[in-house]
Amino acid sequence: MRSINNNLRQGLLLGLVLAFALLAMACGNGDGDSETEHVTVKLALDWYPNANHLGLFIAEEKGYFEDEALEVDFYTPVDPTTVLVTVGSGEDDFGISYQPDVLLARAQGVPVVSVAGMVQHPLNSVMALKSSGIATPSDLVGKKVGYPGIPTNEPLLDTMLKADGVTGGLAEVTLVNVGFDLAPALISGMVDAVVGAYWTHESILVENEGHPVNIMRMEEWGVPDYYELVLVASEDTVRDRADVVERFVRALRRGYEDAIDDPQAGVDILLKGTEEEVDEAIERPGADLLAPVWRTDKAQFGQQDSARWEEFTRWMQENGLLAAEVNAGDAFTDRFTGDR
Amino acid sequence: MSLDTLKSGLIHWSAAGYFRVSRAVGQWFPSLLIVMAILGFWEGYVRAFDVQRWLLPAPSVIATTMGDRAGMLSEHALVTLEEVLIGFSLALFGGVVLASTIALSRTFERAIYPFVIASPTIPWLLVAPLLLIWFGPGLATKIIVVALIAFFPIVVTMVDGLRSIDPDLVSLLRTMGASRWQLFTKVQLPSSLPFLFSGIKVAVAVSVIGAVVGEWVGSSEGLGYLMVRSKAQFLTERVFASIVILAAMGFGLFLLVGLIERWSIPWWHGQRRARSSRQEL
Amino acid sequence: MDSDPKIRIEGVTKRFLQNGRTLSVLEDVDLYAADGEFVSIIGPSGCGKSTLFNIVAGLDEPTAGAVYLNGRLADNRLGTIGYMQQKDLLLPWRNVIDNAIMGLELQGVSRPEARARAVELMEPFGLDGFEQEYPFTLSGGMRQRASFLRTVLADTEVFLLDEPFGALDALNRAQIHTWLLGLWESLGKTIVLVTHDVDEAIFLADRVYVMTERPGRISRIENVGLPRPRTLEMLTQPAFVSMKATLLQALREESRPGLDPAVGRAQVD
Repeated sequence: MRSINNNLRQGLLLGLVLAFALLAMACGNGDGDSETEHVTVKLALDWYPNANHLGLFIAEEKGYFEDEALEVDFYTPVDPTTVLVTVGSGEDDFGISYQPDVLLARAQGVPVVSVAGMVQHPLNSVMALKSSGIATPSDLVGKKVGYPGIPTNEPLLDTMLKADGVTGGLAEVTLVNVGFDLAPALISGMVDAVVGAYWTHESILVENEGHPVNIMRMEEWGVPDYYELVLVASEDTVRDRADVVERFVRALRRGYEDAIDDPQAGVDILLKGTEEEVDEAIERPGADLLAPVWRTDKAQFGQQDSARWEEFTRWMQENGLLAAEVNAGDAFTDRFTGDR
Repeated sequence: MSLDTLKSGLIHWSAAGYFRVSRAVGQWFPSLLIVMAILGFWEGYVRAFDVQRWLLPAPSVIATTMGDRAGMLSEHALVTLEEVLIGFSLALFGGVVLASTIALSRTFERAIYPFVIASPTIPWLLVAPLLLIWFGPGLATKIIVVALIAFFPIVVTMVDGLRSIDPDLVSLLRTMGASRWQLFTKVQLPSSLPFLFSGIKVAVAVSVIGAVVGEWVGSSEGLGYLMVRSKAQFLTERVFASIVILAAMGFGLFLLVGLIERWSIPWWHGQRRARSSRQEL
Repeated sequence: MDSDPKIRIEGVTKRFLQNGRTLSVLEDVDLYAADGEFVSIIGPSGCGKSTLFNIVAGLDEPTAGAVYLNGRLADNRLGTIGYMQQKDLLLPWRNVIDNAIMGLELQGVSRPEARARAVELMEPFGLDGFEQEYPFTLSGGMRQRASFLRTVLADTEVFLLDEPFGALDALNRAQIHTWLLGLWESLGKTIVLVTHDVDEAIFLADRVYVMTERPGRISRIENVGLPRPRTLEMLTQPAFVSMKATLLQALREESRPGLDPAVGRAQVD
């Protein structure tokens, strides 16, 4: 009697397992039996959603990704400094990061590649309250400058100071690590100026609080004109899944071209996409400021220049930032943003 | 003293030392074995699967980094240690005073104790930036973060300890004419020490965490700062090296507290040992 | 006045309000002890002996009646009457000598002076050599002796002993009885002892009071009348045995027939 029951139970179990397996297979191959395989990609953002991501939200909203049979799952990592690690290890397909960080990572053997220059010029700047009278880098001598603890800011400031005739460079100012809360540190007077603040974001934030600011742009003070935000993927992705990269960049470009054309409409979409969690008072003016920075010389979104990569790599090397020799040419590719 | 006496004294002393050391080793041997096993497995895994150094460094790489950058690491370690010790001392002093007042005054207890209980639930990592604004980026902010985190276990355990006295003992001492204050100083305080020490052990461990958290928010030195900075430079082995040192720091402080405890309340351990050995009979 | 007893408990009554009901623990208790006298009290469990002692020591006040010391109403008697309990209640964090001087310390005597006084009594109390030991290393008997030393050192006029030897086995108890009597004779203190043990009550005391069950009152007083110094042989002599029989009978009468006095009622002792 009992043996029959056991056999029945085992049979049922086997049947159940088979059913599940078939179901799983069916689901896996279910949607999109079209020519291009529908792919889901993960994108790690550099920071919380803001005006810099306008093109991304537009592409999502207007179905540009869908047109390319892509489903994009983008998120902000709890710790944004991990973007290059997750992309390099293959956990994320794409990431938004910074040109200096890409070079730092490659120097340590992290196999990441910049596939598009999203923000064509530095957004990082030195910022001081107008009331302080600090208008050029040399005015910083003997003052306290706050920074977010990210090492790259040190040589950036050093170069700016030297470009303004301060031969001692960084030694002539006091750097204070204030974490990411740059605006409160500046407004409260804890520091006289800040570096690491975006002239398209923190500046607006501070001015909205009723404090006009002076901005010193990096590229105007001796720093090579670098790409603030770049789209990165791992070397493996670029090599083995080039078609996915091509489709992604193409959709992204369409989104950003719309953003360049009508930034405010883009902000509407951003607000909708983030369920009003962004600060409209910052993002609206920010979007207008950013639109020109997304534009390239060739009016080709995301296009990257090898000369600029070489120059910036050299600058990093000269400032002792790179632990090992880095070949600038290997750090980026223009395959996906070349002529249409 | 003759040479013979000296010689026999030396032999006895070194023999005693040998037995003490070998007993200590015997106590720690199982844990040591486990640690070795974990390290071995880790090293093997990294080598076998060719895991990238920036993703997960092998123990051998971490050890080499610790050797190469010993100077830098110890400099930062000392800063963090300073924050831990000062912050913890503040928490200890404040905690003992507060616990005593809570035990001595019912009204005070009702007013203040709810805040004490709520304190560990406050996410200090998010409050720390505010502290940074108020107290500046110097040592003060870190010390305050440490003190705020270490405060809770000390107050709670000490209050429990102060309340734990035998009511018959209190009656007896009252018949001997003890005043409220004498009861507090001669009975409640000494009997609260074992409880306080267990609170101190917890506090010391979380003080290390507190110092690191404080440094993450805004600092130019210390192991927490070094961790953030090294991570930005993809020097993962330095991050791990910092973690190792922090763990050693916490462990070392814990052991130190244990030693101080054994020295200040010898009766407690003797009592526990006596009780347990009696049960075995 | 010479005729006043050292301590007199007159008409002491104690009632508690518990769960809306009045609980009567002591009802009109009268007893006294003359200067230098050794008096013992026996009674069934739950008769209120400990409540009585609490009142005499000053931890509690009677609902009616009063306590007189040296003939005068003892209003603020807390701290003036020595009280030794069944539990040794030695402070575990103090060594023997520092435990012994507790009473003196609370009275404000300096530690060095108090310790000097204690050292002298270590030998008669059988604790010499153990001054620096912590209580957990001592045997039960030694701990009780240390507790008694503490009581004696506090040098109060009256000692209340609440079943202080209950935790000791028979052999230890016999030894400690002889020792206690020797000490009492040399100190000349007035002692009131409460005990379960009828042998102990008779052997140690000049007079024995019998207390009834709750509400406790004195039902009988027996003069022991045996010569001093007492010897262990007396325990089996006819005079002793007949007194013991009388007292046991009295105790049995006080317990409710057929009911074990220890079971079935709240201990308000």
